[in-house]
Amino acid sequence: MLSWCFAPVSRKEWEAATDVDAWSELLGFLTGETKPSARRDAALRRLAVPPTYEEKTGFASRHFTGGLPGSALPVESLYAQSEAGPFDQAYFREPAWYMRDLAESLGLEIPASFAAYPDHLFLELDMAVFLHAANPEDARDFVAHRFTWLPRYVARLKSINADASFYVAVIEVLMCVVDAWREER
Amino acid sequence: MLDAKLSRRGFLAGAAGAAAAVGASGYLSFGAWEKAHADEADDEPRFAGHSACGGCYSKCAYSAYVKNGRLGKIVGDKDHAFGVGKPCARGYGWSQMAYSANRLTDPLKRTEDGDFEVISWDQAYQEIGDKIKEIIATSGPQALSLVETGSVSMDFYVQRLFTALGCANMYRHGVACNLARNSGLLQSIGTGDFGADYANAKAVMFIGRSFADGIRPAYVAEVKAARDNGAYLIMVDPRYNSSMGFCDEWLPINPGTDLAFILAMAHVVVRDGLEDKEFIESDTVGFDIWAESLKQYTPEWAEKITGIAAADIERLAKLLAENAPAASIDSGWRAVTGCSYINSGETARAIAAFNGLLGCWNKPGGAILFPAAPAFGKLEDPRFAAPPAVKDKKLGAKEYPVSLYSMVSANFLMEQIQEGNVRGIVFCQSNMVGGYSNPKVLEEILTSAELSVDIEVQMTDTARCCKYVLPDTSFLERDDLPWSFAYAVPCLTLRSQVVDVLHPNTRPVHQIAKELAEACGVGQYFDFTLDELAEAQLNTLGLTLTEMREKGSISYPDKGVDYGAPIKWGTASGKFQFANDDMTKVGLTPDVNWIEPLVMPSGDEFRLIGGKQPIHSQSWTTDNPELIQITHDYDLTRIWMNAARAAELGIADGDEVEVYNDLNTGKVRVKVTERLNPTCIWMPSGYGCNSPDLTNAYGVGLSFMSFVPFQRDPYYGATMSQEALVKVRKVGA
Repeated sequence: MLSWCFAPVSRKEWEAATDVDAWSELLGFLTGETKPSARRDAALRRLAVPPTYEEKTGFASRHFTGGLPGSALPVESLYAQSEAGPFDQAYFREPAWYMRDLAESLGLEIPASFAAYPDHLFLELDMAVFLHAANPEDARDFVAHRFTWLPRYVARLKSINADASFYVAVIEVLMCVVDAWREER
Repeated sequence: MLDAKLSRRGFLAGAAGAAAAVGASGYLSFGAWEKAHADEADDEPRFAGHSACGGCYSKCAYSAYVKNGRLGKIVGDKDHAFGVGKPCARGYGWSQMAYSANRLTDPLKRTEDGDFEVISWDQAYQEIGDKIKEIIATSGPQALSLVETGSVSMDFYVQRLFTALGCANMYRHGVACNLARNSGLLQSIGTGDFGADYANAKAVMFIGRSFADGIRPAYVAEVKAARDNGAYLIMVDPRYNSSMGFCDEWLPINPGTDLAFILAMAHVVVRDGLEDKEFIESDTVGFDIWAESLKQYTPEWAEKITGIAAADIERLAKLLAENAPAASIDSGWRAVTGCSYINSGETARAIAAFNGLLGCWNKPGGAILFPAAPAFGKLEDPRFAAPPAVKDKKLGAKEYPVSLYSMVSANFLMEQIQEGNVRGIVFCQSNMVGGYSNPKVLEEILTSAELSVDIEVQMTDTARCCKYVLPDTSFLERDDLPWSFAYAVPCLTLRSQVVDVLHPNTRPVHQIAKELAEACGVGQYFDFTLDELAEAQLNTLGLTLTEMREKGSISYPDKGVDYGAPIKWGTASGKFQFANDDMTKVGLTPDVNWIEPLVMPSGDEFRLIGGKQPIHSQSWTTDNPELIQITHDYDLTRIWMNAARAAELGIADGDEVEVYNDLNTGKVRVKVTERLNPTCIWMPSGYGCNSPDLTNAYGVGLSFMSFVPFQRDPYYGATMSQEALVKVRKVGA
């Protein structure tokens, strides 16, 4: 569900996901998966009112695209630290290769339209869910390694000249989930 | 725990039993993957095909090697006439463009608040197509225009589109590059370019041209060969440039006065009867007219203007004449002859004329006319037939009748947009706003255009002024048409796709042109695939597409320069033209005479001159992180200032200074040096990017053209990039 916030979904799908009951259920679930903290509570408060479909697609059309001052594509290769130093902001680096190879090893297909960024956040979230269904321990390992870039991504979202607060809150909650999982390992 | 029922639809498609695979074969942890990956670290990338660099106009070919689906290595293809197997710094840096974080990934439309938002390709084509059709219906096709840098498929496809629309207004970057040069040469020798047999030369003079700072690896190899073979190399340049490592002598000429220098050398040659009388008698017209004009241009006269001692002018004129025909003045490119001064075109004519005095044309060691490139034969398939020819001439052709038609002034076009005569403009990888003239003026004009479209890979200064931006793939991600080009030894090259398309919503320019054509109602002229056309073209040369994909480049040594053979001059007279009556159409004398620069510094003013550094192709490459890092590491945004002038102004090496004139002001650090003529400031070109989207280039260095007025020379329409004066003061002084 969190992956849908960053993925192209249809109006029908988004409106079904964000109807009152479904959304409340999600927020309740997230509350249960995370430890109380000021950060978590602030994020959950912001998440209480999800964007409309128009607001979501409008934000995506200005920010989830490349080459603009407000670009903030949630692709790990653009935010992960690497040994390349100052040249580490580029597509299709190690995180992408790993996701591609992992998917292949599990008999999964990366959607063709995202072959360039198998390390897109929504695909990484999907992978986490998939792994959890099969083996929660593997999912924890995956999450521990794959989401270390999220703080840099949050910083990027906060820096763009737009109201990205909803998406910041999604990432903040996700980081709380990751922290909780790490502590359980 | 995450409840699977909340995951709803996932995006990863899986085979049945995929989840079981996790348990059965084991999940591939990142740690295990890293270890396996490290074990493969020494594996060599595999050959993926021949590409051709997109870092400048030269398109040097190289073999591309891929590992993990990513470009891992490039090795220059020796058979490419310009690259000669040695990619330059820009070649290496630009090869990473496919992965740039700042690449455009989706079609964009400008919103009312000035931002951009993603639209679908269908919407883009619909809206652009409708507007183009409306413009044609109400104002005619000449109310449209195209500006492109000419890059094979782009060239063929977008020009075909505009021809199909009935539009003649197709322009290139020559206005800010080599328009005046190529046009001046055309009027003398019947073609817009010439080279030299550097390897066999005894003496070569370079006027404002530095191969080591410029474009092509082949040139560097050739000047090195000249040096190694004992040629005497002379550099006439206000700046002690990077090519001085090859040269024997430096003349720090007053910028803009090279024409006077050449006229005075010509005076010496004719005065002393050192000209090649046989060549002049058999192959030329107009010598007597020019010889008469030359009487006034004495070395003493030139010394006062150029700052070069009369004795040196005498000496060098005689040195070149005595070594003829294995001696020449190099043709120049952008600085001096290309577009810099009001007298640039005439300086190009003077260079050609001086070489005429030497009689060195197509002689070993002399100036050479490039043999024609292999031409594709007639294509029989009716699908490839050209659209009906456009009878109109492009705007500006009438006003600049002696300009090379293919390079007619794009700055003139912008005035037509300003005046409402042209309502729509399409760009193809041309950063006009960044470099063709004053950016502020160009930005203002372009944002006022009713329709503006840019086909690009990055959000350049130009793209951000347009209403629509359509994302091209990078050059690595697409096939191209074969192209042949003229050089001392002509060459045929084919670029092939070497990596998968990275961003699925980008499209190669040939596809964009075809789909735009369909939206504009002229899709019938694009009823073929790129491969079909490429195959047909190559078949006419006895080649196949498969063969060319394997070879990459083929050279044609048997079609190279035929030294000593009679020359077929492409001029109206059929001869080399020391004088050409056509020049009177633009107010010039038939022969070359002195024209003083438009502006001259006085008092505390400096002439602003500029030039390339070997790591950048103007603004084209400045967003590349590796190349801009070199800029930072070596402080390459610095301006150069003559030491004596700096001392007068209380400026020391490394100081931060303000450069200013009526048009612009900016702060930058200064390199104080003896190696610069005192009447000028040298500023590296290409910096000063004004597009915040190009995060590596934005705000780095000063924009050279921001100090230059929006202007054109009256003869050829070139931008006169160095007819600008500035002052400098120390920051905090």
